[in-house]
Amino acid sequence: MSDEVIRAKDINKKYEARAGGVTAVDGVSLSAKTGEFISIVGPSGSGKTTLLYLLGSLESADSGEIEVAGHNIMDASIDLVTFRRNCVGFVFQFFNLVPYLTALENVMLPMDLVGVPYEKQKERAVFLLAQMGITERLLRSRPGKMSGGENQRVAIARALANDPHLILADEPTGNLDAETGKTVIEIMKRLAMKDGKCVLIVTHDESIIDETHRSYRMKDGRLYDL
Amino acid sequence: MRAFYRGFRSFRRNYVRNSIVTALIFVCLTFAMSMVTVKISADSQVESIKKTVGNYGEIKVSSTYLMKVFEEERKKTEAERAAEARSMSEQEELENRISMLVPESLANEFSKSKYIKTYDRVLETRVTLPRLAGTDVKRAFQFRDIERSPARAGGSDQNSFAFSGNTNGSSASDFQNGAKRVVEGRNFTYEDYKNAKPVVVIEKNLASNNKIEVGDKIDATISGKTGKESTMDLEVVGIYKTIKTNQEEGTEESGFNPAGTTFYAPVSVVQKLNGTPDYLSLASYYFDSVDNTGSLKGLFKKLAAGKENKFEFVTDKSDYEEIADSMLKARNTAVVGLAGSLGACALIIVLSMIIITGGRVRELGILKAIGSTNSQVVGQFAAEVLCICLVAIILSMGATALVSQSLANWVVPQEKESVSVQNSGQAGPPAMRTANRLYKYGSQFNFAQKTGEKAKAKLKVIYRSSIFLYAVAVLILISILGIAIPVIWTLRLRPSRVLSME
Repeated sequence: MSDEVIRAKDINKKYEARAGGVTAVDGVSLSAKTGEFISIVGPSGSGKTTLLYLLGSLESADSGEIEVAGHNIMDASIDLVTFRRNCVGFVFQFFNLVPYLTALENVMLPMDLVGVPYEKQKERAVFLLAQMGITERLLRSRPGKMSGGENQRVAIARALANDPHLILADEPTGNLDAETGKTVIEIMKRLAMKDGKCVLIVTHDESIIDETHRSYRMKDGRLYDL
Repeated sequence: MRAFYRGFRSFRRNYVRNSIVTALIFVCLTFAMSMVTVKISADSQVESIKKTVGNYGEIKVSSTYLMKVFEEERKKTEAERAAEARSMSEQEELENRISMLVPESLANEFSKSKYIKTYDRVLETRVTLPRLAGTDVKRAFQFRDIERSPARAGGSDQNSFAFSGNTNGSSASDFQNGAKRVVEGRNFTYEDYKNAKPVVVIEKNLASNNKIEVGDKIDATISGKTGKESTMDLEVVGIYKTIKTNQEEGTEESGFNPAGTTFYAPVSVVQKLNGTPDYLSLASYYFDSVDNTGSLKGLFKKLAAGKENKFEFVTDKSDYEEIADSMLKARNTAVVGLAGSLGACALIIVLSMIIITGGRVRELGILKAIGSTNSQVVGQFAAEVLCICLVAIILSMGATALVSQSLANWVVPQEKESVSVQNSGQAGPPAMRTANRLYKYGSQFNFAQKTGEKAKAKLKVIYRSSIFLYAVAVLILISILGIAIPVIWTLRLRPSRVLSME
């Protein structure tokens, strides 16, 4: 696999609605490499989350070419479940942790799905959580008992569980206070720069622009260089 | 397997919600399993009842026909009847006699049905025994002292004795139901019947009064014959005594014996004595089950085509229905109760799973987004549903053992616990009085038959091992229903739709 993690060309996505179609993504082309930390900013409804979901194969594009970590996800024959397990890690604004699982179990979950032995799951989960600054005391805590920042760090650890090439973060600081948000951005930055992950963040918070290698603005489904 | 483990963990950690659902299902399942227990017990008891009652039938001259003949005779004056009797030729007299009998050919044909288990030919008639004196008139009315001058006891009533003919003495209903018992000698056998051996079994008091012992011979007059062929020597092979049967007083021997004039002989011999070979009073049958009554009635209708008004096939189905009534009601109620409670169970599990799964769409979305296959997601939810249903059914099995009898008593209507089996004191002409009575409850001439009350079957719930099979079936059924909901949600859900929701 080359260094190029994302190679998207002229992708389009239109949602059908009663009041007529809504073009969420309009001819977007994007490429990103290993170790890059990229941000896409834009107001709500500009199509940035849709673009993220297209890249993560949670949505399918109407047209265009999308290749992530060497996988052409527009190819009908590709196993998207396996692709999502191995190549992409998601971080969401509302953390989206499984509420009845502990922090440790949430991080172990993606590894569990691919059949990693329990002991190895646990070992890696403890390691990742430690990297995220989650103390041992919190390992057995459930999401409801942890703060927003702690939850988001657990979510990032979960995104890294199967060692994906690409981390897709949708408003990761949107539900956090400024200080905690800053910590989360620092972690993301570290993932890109130290761990060599390609990290793509979409947010409406323009203060992130200075933290990333490249930034884009999204407006009415179109992507503009900043 | 891991998905199942996650499901179990989810079940354990969402214990409040799951406990409520489990409790609701437990209540319904306890009722459902109790109803299954009631049904199984009722079915079993009904099957036991079927072995003893409801499987008897007999072909005989119909009561409607007898009533019609009676009505015609009643219209005539005494003088007209006497004149008619005097003017009747031998052939006409025979025809008159057989008009009240059943052709043996019809009975034989009917016995070929695959449902028939046993078949008995019965002919009950009166035979003149010129040298014998009866006991009934003597004991009941004290008309004359027969012992002192037996020769004077030769009136037609005194010498006319009731004869009950069967294919086998022990199959005669009076002996079968215990109303009579051979105390000396033996009863006549099927071989005696086959060979038309002139043997007879007589009553103890009658034998004593007439100084008859086993091995003695009695002269009998053959009806419709004259000269040498008009008599038959009957060898006494057995002496019986009559048992007075009264359920209130218990069984005891009777001193007074109104039925002492009844003789028991092979039906082939009685047919000869009556001058009606190939004709029977009735043919009695035991068939395999009350369930085949309809088929047998159909067969009878076919065989008796054109003579349906003269002959009838009557069964003890009504006795069966009366005895098994509470069982049948219990069974029907249990089926309705079972259907209702299973329906409630299904509704609870479906609604619960709709609420549970609907409240966990984000979790479904997360699982799918991070790489769960549909089967992994469904497996997890299936484990949760199975846990709920399994706990509920295990608890309900225990509760069923405790409450099923109480529930059975509650759902089964409480009625009087006994039912009169036979009404021998029926109003009407003498012939009609016995027309509706079944031979199995006693011969036509046996007045000391069982006429008491027979206990109505009472439902006794038994906790059988087969209930576990039903429990497994119910478990599978409601689990499948419960699992269907997350399956639908999982297949329809698009993670991108739910992950952005707050």
